[in-house]
Amino acid sequence: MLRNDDEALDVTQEVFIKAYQGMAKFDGAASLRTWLFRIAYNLCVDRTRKTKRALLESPIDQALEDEEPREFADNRWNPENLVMSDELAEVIEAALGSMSEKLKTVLLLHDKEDMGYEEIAATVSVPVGTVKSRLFLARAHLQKHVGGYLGTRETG
Amino acid sequence: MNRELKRQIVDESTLSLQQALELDEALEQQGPVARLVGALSDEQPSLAWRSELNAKLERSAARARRSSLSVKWLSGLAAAAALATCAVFVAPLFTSPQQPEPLVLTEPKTPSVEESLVSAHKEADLESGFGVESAEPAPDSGT
Repeated sequence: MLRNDDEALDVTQEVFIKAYQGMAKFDGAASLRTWLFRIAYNLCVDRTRKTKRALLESPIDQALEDEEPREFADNRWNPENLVMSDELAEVIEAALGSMSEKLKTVLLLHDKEDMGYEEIAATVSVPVGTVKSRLFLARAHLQKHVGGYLGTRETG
Repeated sequence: MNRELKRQIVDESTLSLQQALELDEALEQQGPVARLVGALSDEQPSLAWRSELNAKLERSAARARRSSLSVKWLSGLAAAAALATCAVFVAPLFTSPQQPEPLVLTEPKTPSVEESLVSAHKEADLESGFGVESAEPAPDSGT
């Protein structure tokens, strides 16, 4: 959710310190992981508001207009052919950087941290339906960027 | 996916059951993208970062201990002051005022028979002038 690694490391430390200080208040209503991620999410939101960074977001509806989700049948998206190279990782990081915080949060919590819809909903305090909508939009956005990279790689 | 559904997804509007099912199907088809994100490498924090975090946690724990001791000390003082106040103002309520001892009327003791005989003998001695403490010499006993 944050723009650079240093900021992410600082916030991660704050998460553990806040968790340590607030451990007595943890009532066990949610899982420990959900509680920790909720602390992290709130800290990231606060940090972003403080720095008042303007995100250069790509229009999401544009991504939906240009790409049809049902294109994974082509060979480019074959997991055997799609190797996570440094270059591809950079393309993905760039796509994540141009994504809004709310979409990026849901995408990373679900696809990177393997959290379920209900758990994500409890972490960011939105309904499950909203989580699914944001996840779909985030993946569509990422697909557009990576699809472009894969297209240029094939032609290039 | 039709345009109306796309618009509702962008607006985060509530979807119908049919639309929700269509969204679930679309999410399933985005599996390859999900696997790409999952394949991103995790950054392991350095030892220096971990040491810094440990130092911050220790400082936080020390602050918590100091504030806990201050709270306990102040609480003890407050409790002692409350008890002293209670002792001064409340304790007298539980002690009854001293009442004068009730006057016990006892019957005069009637002298016993022995006491009557002794007192009669003493009186008789005093009248006759004889007795151990009499100043007059005792009559000659026959010598």
